[in-house]
This record gives sequence, structure tokens and C-alpha cells, in this order.
Amino acid sequence: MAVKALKQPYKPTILEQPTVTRENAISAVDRASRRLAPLWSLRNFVAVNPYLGFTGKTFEETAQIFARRAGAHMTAPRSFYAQAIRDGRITDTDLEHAISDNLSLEGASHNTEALKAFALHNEPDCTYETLPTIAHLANKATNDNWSDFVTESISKWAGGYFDKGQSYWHSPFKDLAPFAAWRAEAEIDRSSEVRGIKGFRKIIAQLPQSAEETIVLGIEKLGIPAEGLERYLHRLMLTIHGWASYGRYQLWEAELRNANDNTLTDLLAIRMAWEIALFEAFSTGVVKDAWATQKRQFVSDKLQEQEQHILANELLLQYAFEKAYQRNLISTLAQPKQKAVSNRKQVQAAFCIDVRSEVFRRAFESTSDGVETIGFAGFFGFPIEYVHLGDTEGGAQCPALITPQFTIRETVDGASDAEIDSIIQQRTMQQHITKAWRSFKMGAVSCFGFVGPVGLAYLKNLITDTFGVGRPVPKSSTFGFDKDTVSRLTPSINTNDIDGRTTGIALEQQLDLAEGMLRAMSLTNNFARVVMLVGHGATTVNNPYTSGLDCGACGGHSGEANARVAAQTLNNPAVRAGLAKRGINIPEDTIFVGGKHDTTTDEVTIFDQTGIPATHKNDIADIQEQLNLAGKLSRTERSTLLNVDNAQDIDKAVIRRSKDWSQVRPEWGLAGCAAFIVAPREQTQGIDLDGRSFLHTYKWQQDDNFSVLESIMTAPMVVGSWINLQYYASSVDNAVFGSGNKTLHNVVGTVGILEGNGGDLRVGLPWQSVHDGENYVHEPLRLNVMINAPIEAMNDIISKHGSVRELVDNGWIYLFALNDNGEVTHQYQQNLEWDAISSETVAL
Amino acid sequence: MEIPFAQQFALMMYIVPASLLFIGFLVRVGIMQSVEQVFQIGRATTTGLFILSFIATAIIFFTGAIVSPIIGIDNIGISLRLDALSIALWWLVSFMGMFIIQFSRNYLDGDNRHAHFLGGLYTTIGAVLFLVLSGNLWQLVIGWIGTSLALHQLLVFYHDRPRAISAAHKKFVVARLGDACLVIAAILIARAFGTSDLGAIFEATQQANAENIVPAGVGIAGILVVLAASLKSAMFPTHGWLLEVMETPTPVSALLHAGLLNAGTFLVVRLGYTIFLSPVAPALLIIIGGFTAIFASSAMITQNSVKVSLAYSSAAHMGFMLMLCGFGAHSIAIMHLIAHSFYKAHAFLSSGSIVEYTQNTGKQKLNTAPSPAWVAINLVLSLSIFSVIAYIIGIDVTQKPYEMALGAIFIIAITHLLNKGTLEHSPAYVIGRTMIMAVAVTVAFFSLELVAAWLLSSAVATVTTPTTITFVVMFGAVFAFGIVTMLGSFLPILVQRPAWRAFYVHLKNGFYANTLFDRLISSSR
Repeated sequence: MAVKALKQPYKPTILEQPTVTRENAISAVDRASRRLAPLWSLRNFVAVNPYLGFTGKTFEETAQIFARRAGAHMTAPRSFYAQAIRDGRITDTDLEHAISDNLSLEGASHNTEALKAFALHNEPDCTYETLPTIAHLANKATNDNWSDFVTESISKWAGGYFDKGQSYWHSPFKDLAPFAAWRAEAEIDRSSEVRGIKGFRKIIAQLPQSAEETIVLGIEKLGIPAEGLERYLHRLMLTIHGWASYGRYQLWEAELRNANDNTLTDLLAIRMAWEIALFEAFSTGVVKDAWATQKRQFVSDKLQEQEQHILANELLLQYAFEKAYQRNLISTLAQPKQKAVSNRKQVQAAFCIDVRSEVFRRAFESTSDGVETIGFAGFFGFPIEYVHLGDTEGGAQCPALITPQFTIRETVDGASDAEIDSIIQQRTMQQHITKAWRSFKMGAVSCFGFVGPVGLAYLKNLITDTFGVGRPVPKSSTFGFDKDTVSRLTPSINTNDIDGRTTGIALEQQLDLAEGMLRAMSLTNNFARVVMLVGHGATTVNNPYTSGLDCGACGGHSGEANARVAAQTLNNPAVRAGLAKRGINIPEDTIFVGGKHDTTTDEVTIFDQTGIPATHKNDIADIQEQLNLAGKLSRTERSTLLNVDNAQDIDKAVIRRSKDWSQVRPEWGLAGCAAFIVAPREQTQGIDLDGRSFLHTYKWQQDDNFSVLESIMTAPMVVGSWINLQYYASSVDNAVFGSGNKTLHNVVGTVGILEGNGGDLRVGLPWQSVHDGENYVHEPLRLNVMINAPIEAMNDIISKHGSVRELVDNGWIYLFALNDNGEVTHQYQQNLEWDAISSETVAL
Repeated sequence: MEIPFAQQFALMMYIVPASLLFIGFLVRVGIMQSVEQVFQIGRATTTGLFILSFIATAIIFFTGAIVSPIIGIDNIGISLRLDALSIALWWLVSFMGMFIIQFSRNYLDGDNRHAHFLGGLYTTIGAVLFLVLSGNLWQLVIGWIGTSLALHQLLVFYHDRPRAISAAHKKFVVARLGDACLVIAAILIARAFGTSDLGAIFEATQQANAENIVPAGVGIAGILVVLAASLKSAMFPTHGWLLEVMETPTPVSALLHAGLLNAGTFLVVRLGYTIFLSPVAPALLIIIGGFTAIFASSAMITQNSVKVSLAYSSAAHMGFMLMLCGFGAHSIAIMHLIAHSFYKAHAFLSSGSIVEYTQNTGKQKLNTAPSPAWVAINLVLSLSIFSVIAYIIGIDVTQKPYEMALGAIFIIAITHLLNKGTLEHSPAYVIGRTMIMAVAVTVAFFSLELVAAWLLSSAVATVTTPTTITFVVMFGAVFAFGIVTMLGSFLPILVQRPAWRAFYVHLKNGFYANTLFDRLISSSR
């Protein structure tokens, strides 16, 4: 919409010394916007590093900033560390190391005894004094909760504006830009005045039409000091953290497509409009006076001395806790490994690097000498958009950092075009009927005609859902298809088109993708008879976060399609011929198969079995048997954490969980993730890594110019740290970085979650996903990345990529070097310097 | 004094509420702490009570309604009543209880107050059973207040959540107003009829109604009963608390919306002909209930969060049921109550599936409006389906005014279904299937009415000759339902008009009733 010029220029009533230029203000808006991490919608809930905007600052600086601007904590409650000290998990030496490694940390204790006393001193956690906003000053002045009212009011509006299909009568202002839409509604909405803000609509009506101008006006009116602009704007955004993060997501998506998006600026303008309105409405008296003195605080993020002391010591305790973990992990990796048998294997199975694969891979390998496993990003290097049958658009099945390059459509195996058309038509009609029924059920007035006669039928649903027969609603991907069709659904790599868009992958590109994948997983020779590519997905019911348990590398979707597409590509004789020319010779008796690891039940399905040649039928039967056994072993291992009673039939209990509509922890997802090991599998094989480690197969000897290493350190490693920091943040401060209590969750607009009856949109993971009620299941640990590669090669990559350097230099991940025996030899410090790991550290 | 077997049995049935209240008490004082133990005992007890309801049904099938002797001093005390109405609700509440308790086992796993939560559920379910089994006014009053207090404990289960506290506080204020209304009404009724026994009151009011004699104070009592029911069942403008009490785990919402909220309708039905002795009470009930039904079901379609939208839906259904009571269709109101309970409990417990559900049905949107010709055709169609089935079954809806009113609303609803099925050049298959659904729902509608009449007629009031004022209001209500449905159908072409945009904003905000309440509460602090 075009921005209309104001008929009369708005004259601010008060103008302090205009120290801030318009350009300054606009650039501060942009900087503040980039401080936020995006929030993906529930349909593809991708893990994201909540500190994403701060990787340019150190972990410690960021902790201080969040304390000051959001009252947030970046370490666990002190009692957690106290317990770890009492249990002997954190030793005095760990505490000493923590102190000596962080001598420059402001406010920190300088001797072990003082730090220990601090930890063990039973004191409630610090409530940080946050930077003020007008709304917060109004709270104090009137003894009424205006800051909550503002958040609530914006959230209520945003829920309607961003709704993706829950309300039938949706906002009629949806076609306007967010700020214009809000303004239009705010000029009608009486809520604020009914609640006691005099003249609210009038104040809003006088604001500039443009979001940017409104922000500039607010900055002028409130007299924000020039050096505090970004701080103030970021502070405002944090009062609507969830929706602002959703706005940041719009920007993220737009920028992936080289476009622009102003949603976040508009949201900021809305929040600013509230500041202006409250400032005007409470113009007489306390609020204005308080603001005049308090706005000076925006020149820095400095905490009070006592607060800084507490923050610094808590950071030291976290550091010591991580030291203790590293000590254990280093000695675990120093264990003797299983000797690799060099015969040709029956099966090589590539699983996602996901920590959940580690348990299964270990179990699978233990079932037979003929099994070798590989770790690789679960989208197998195939960045696709997967369009389900009958749809015209699909989800991006690739990591959030990239855009899909190919569109793959789902088709029905062995069906003619006419047959497929009729299947699609059947489904469309089914949808139409369901929709009519839904309208009847949820229409004004018609709902009364529905409930009386039909309501009793829900008795049956209550029973079937309680006993886990069927699910509350059918699965979306198979809704409207009959059983036979569902069993024949398969991705098609052949070129075709949907709505004029080309789908499928051309031969030349198939060849490139195939080569890229094999080289990136260091699999270019010694092919087994069967190479399995195993994607993963989760099976849960009645769980709004279900996509969060799916494959992160596939953008919050099941990796099934990617695995099947990759296998189809590698089985293509033309691709094989091309690969041979490029130096990768795949034996003729090697077949590729796609599979799916169900992480909730630890069952593995092998797809497209009808296409498997008779010569390999026996292999597949063997493999399926081994997979079943591995599943049993994995379920048994996981059952302790799932709190499954030993007396029960474990297999039944675990599978039952995946169908239980009342289950808030169908599985533990990636909880516990703490390490990322990049090395040949021989270096870790047989070691119990407790399902806490990402495993990426990598042989540096085969990596000519270290381009594979470069891609690992810039992509999977970064994604791993995103996941790790999401878990970290959700466990240390669930109120700010997590989504709270699952039993209160209230889905809004199919986009996200409110906790309870309203409030801001929530980000991050539910408390139930990191904590079992008594203990953390995800203990806060920053990711420990261990790479078997020459240090010089790693240094080259770190110095070449600023974003990687920020992660390692600013303490967002720990980086270690492994020697060719898989033992940790060096730890990265800062500025490309490495310290040798002394043997005594390990021995402790 | 020798007590006959039937009365002894009724007395023994105090075990029904008492067992759950007792377990709830043991948990509360900390005698029972193990979650698994508390869960197993609670589930087993509730299941036992469910089975017991069938035995009670068998007994009253032979004996007719039975009432226990009064427990108390002289004639002041409490008594328990078993009849079709109380046993139907006993059956419903214990059935819901079983599923809600089962759901709460895994749902709250790991919560360090899990056992307390279960204990709170037992106490509340026990209190509801105590209420529905009331034999006299005093037990009714105690149960009425007790359910609300028991629920309060569950609403503030997360006592560190300010929003939970403020929502529960709102509910508390509204509930106490309702209590006051009921207590005064109970005293007036007891004085007017010289008895507190609900059976005796039912007969006395029935007779008074037939003879058209209104004892002193009963007219006012009727109005107070209507007010008490309205406050309990979240009628406009006191519905605000209902939109906010999802600050506590989902099973509590299921229990509230499928259980406690129904108390308003139960009260009106239980007191039978009382409200019909007041010239204005039935009309008042139709106006309050009908307006809330229309308001809340319209506001519901503007809501975008699943639980708030369900809360509006509940307020709407409560309004509809109270309106039916005003019509004099008590047995149908109770059947609606039961059907709604199943529907709503399931809707809350499965609210985590809304994302998938929306994906399957395609996103909700204001699609094209039906052509007026199709609307006319569909209206005729649904009217024909209705009439033909009524004819086949042998029901003459013109006999009772309330059946005509209800039938009209039902026909409007079916027209809406047919409109949706015939939109956008639907293929014959879709139209055919929609027609089949329309027929099936209509058959279900009549079957339900027959079953309701058969099951409940002995225990509830049926008013076939409304007063003029009631008749006029009833007609007005049906007319309003028709208008709202028509406007709803043509909403897609109306929404962009400025007045409708403004109306959308006001409606979405519930006409600011809740905001005003907030302000009053905050200034009273």
C-alpha cells in the first residue's frame, strides 16, 4: 500500500534537543531488528539459536545484555551448580580452571573458595533490574499492569492479523501492511479507552501513516539518547519478543529469496505507538518526570555492581560445569576403539547427524559385522521442496540456512496420469465435504444444530483416542487417500510440472548432487552391496510441536522424501555412468535404498521395496531383521530416560507412547545434545556416547582442498550449534527463551503457541522438553565440537568465514582437534590459537 | 423408625460423592502422596461409580424416583435424590471423570504437584456429583457453592502465574454473586411451598402452574434462579472469566466445559416449573440465553486461538441450553447438555491437534457467498427433509410451540450445511454426500428428541403453553437466529464494508464487556 502523505505535518508537543538524525534512527531500527532470532511457525518448527543476533559479541557480554534488557538468565539456577559441586561432578580443579580462564571477567570471584561459597550459598536467583519503558514506568506510577496490557493487546491483534486459518471471520485488514492494519483497527477498538487510557484512539489517529516515521517520532518525543537508540528499540522488541521474532522470520525468509520485508519494523512501530500513547495519556505527572531521569540509562547495558558480581560468578559456574563435562568426554574418547573389519560390508547405512541416530547406529552396528554406519546431514545434500500429492506447494526440505533448489512432487507408484487425476479429484472432494462439515460444526448458529444430534458421537472418539486406536485427526500428508494409495505414494525425480513450475531433477543436476553427497560423506570407494540412506521423522499425536521433533536438516519435516530421492538418483544407471567418469566407481551389485528412522519408536522402514532386484531380496530381509533387533536395543536403552517401568513390555510401552494423545514427552528429541564429532566412524565406534553427540563422518585424507571440511564447519556445525543453543536457552530461562508449560499451551493461528489465555507468542521449546520434573534432561552445555583434521586446515576455514570465527572466538561453541586415533589433542582458544590438552586434565 | 429399602439405597448412594471427596481430602492433607497410588485409586473409584450408575438406573426403573431420608436435625438437612435426571448426570459426570483422570496421568507427568492435581480433580468431580444428586434445596445450595470452591483450587493450580490468579479472582467474584442469588431464591421457595424437598417443590410448582396461582415470593425467586444460572454458565456480560481460565492444565478446562458450566442449566431444569411461575423469568432466560448464544457463537468465528475459541463456543452452547429451558424444552436442553459435554471434552483434550486439523480441512476462510437462489433451494430442501422425516417418524412439531421454534433453528442450521456443500460448483458427489449428512443429522435430531422425552419426561418440566410474552420472545429469538445465519452466509460480501469492519473489531473484543470488568476489578484493588 502506498504511504499517504499527512495532510498536516504532525507537530510533536515536546522536542528535546534533536541529537538523533532520521538516518541514525532508521539504521538503529535495522540493527535492533537483526538482534532478534527468527521464530519458525509450528508447521515447520526449525531449531534456531536464540542468541543469533549476538554471536558478534561474547557469551558473557550477551548474558549481561539480556539481563539488562529482558531480565533474562543465561545460566541455570545457582542451586543446579551447587548440586553438581556437592555430587562431585564439578571438582575444585574445574572451578580453578574456570577462574583462571576468565580472569578478565568483570565482577567475578578470584579464588575457588569464594566461588564455591557463592555457589553453595542458598539464595534466590537474582531478579535483574531491567531498562525502563514508558509502559513499565506507568505500572509503577498507577499500580496497574500496563506493560502486560500493552503486550496482551498487541498479541491479540497479531494473533488475528497473522492467523493462518483458525478463525473463519478473519481480520478484514489483512491486506494492509501490519502497521496500517493495526492503526486501522486501533482507531476503532475501544478496549484501551474502556480500560482507562484517555483519548487513545485520538492519539493514534494523529500518528504518521508510515511505520518508520512513527518510530522516528517516538524517538524524538521520548528524547532517546543517540548512543542508546539500538538498545531502546531492542528493549521494546523484547516486550513483544514472540511476535517480533515471528516478524524477524518473515525478514529471514524474504532475504533468502533476495527480497525485503517490513513486518518487524511495523511491529516495532506498533510498540512505539503504544509508548507514545502512554506517554501522552499519563502526561501529567510521575511518568514524564521518571522518564526524564531514567532514559539516561540507555547509554549502556551496565548492571549494578552486585548484579554484575552474581552474573559473573554464575557464568564461572557454568564454565566449570562445562569443563567437567569436557573432561569426561575427552577421557571417553581416549578409550580403545573397536577394530574395524576391512571386509566388504553387507550394508552401509547413512543416518542423519542428529544425536538420536547415535543410539540407533551403535545398536545397529552391534547386530552384525556386516553393518557399517555413516553420519551425514539428513537431507543428504538434496535441497528440495516436496509437494505432496494433490498440493501445489510444499515445504522446504533443507536446512534453514539455504533455499530449496528443486521441486519434487509426490506421485502414486505405477499409476497412470488419469488414475492420479482421479485420486486427486477424489481427495479434493473429500476436503470439500470435510470443510462443509467443519463449517456446520463451527458456524455461528449452525453449531447448535450440530452439537445436539452429533455431539454424542464424540463418546466414541473419547474412547478411541484414550486407548490410542486411531488419532484425534487424520495425518495431513495422507488425508483423503485410501490405504492402497498411501502405500504407493512415492517422490518422483522425473521432470514434470505443477502449476507451471518445473519439478524433478535433470540428469546433469542429479549427477552433481550424487557426487556432492558421496564426497561429502567420504563414501567414494568400498561400496557395500546395499547402501541405505535413512532419513528420520517422529510419530506423535495431538502434539503442536510435532514438526520440531522431525528432521532439522530437512527444515522441520520428515527426511523420508530426501532419502528416497537420493536413493532413486544413485540407482539411476546414467548417474552411475557419469559418476564413474568423475572417478567414483560404484559396483554393479551395489543398490541404494531409502529408509526412515522413526525416532519416537526406533522403527526403521525400508521404502520402494518393489524395485529391489531379486539378487538383493535376501540382503534386504537380513537387514530388516537387524534393524528390528537394533530398534529393540535402542528402545531398551531409551526406556530409562522415558521412565518406562521395567516390568512393562518396553517395546509396547514405547510404541504406545507415540499414539498417546495425553503424552507431553513422546520422545526426548535432541535433549542432552552436547557434542559434535567430525571424524571417521572407526574413531568412535563401540563407544557409548549416550545419545548426546552429533556424528558426522569425515575422512580428511580424502578431502583434497578441505572443501568438505569447509562445508561441514559452515553448515552442519552451525546448525548443530543452533539446536544446541536452543536447548541451552530453553533450559536456563524457559520464561524468556522457552515456550513454557505444555499443559497450558494454546495454539494461535496455527502459527505458534500462547501459554494460557494470552500474553505474547512463545518462542523456543516447552519446559517438558528439557526437564523431567525432577532434573534437567537437557543440562545446559555449549556444544563441544571435535574434529579430526589438521589444525592449519581448520584455522584457514575459521579465518576465512567470519560467522564461524564469531562462534569459536566468542564462546558460543568449544572446538577441539582429534588425532587420527580419535583422541582429543588440542583445544581452540581464541584468535586461531590452540592449546595442547595436557594429560593431567584427562586423567582427573 | 423403619426405613424402606428404596430410601436406604438412596441413603447409601451418598457413597457416590463421598468416596471421591474423601480421596481428595486424603490427598490434600498429605496422607496419600504417591502419584501412581492416587491415580489408580481415583480411576478405580470413578469407574466403580460409573458402573454403579447402571445399578441405580435399574432400581429406579422399578421403584420410580427415590429420595433418601434427611440427614440433619429435624427437617433441616440434606437429602439425596435418584431420578432420571440425577442419574443421567451422575452417569455423564463419572464417565467424563474417568477419561479426564486417565488423560491427566501422562499429561502432568513430572509435575511435582501431580498428586495434588489429581486430588483436586477428585474433589471437584465429587462436588459435582453431590450437586447433581441433591434431594433438597439445602444440598443444592451447598453443592452449588462447593463445586465453585473446589474448582477454584484447580484454577489456581499454578499459583505463581499472575494471570491464573486474576482469572480465578474474576470467576470468584461472579460466582459469589450467583451464590447470593441462589441462597435468597432457595429461602423464598422453601417459604412459599413449606418444603425444601425438590420432588415436592416440583409437584407443587407443577400444580401452581396448572392452576395459575403464584405463591408470594416465587416470582422473584424465579428471576433469581435465572440470574444464578446465568452467572454460573457464563452468560453475557459476565462471560469474561470463562475466556481466561485456561491458565490451568487442559483437563481442568475439559472438566469445566463438560461439567461445571452445565450447573446453570441443571439448576433451572431441577427446579422445574418454578421459573414458569414468574411472568418474566422464562422470557428473561430466553433473552439472556438467546443473546449469549448468538453473541458468543458469532464472536467464536473471529477468534484465532484454539482454547479461547472453544470457550466462546461453550458460552454459546450454555446460552442455547438456557434458552431451550426458557422455551420449556427441558428434556431437550438436558440432551443437548450431554451431547455438548462429549463434544467439548474431546475438543479440549484434542486441542493440540488443531494445526493438523486445519491442514486437513484447508484453512478457514471467508470464501464466496452462496447465490441467493441456492440458499432458497437449500432452505426448501432442509425443510423438506425435516418434514418428511418428521412425518415418517410420526412427530407433529406443530403441537408444541417450542418444538416449532427448535425445528426452525435446526432447519436453519441444516440449510447452512447444505449451503457449504453446494458452494463453488460442487460436483454431484459432494452435493450428494452433503445431502446424506443432512438426512443423517436430521434423523439423529429426531431420535435424540424421542430418547430425551422417553428418558427424562418423568423428571423434568414440559411447558407446552407458553405465556404471550414468552411466546413473543421465543418468536423473536428464532427470528434473530435466522437473521444471524443469513448475515453469516453473506458475510464474504459484507466484510469489507466500513461498518462491518468496525463491527468485526467490536465483536472480536466481545463488546468490551470483559475489558470493563478488568477495569472495575483493578480499580477495586
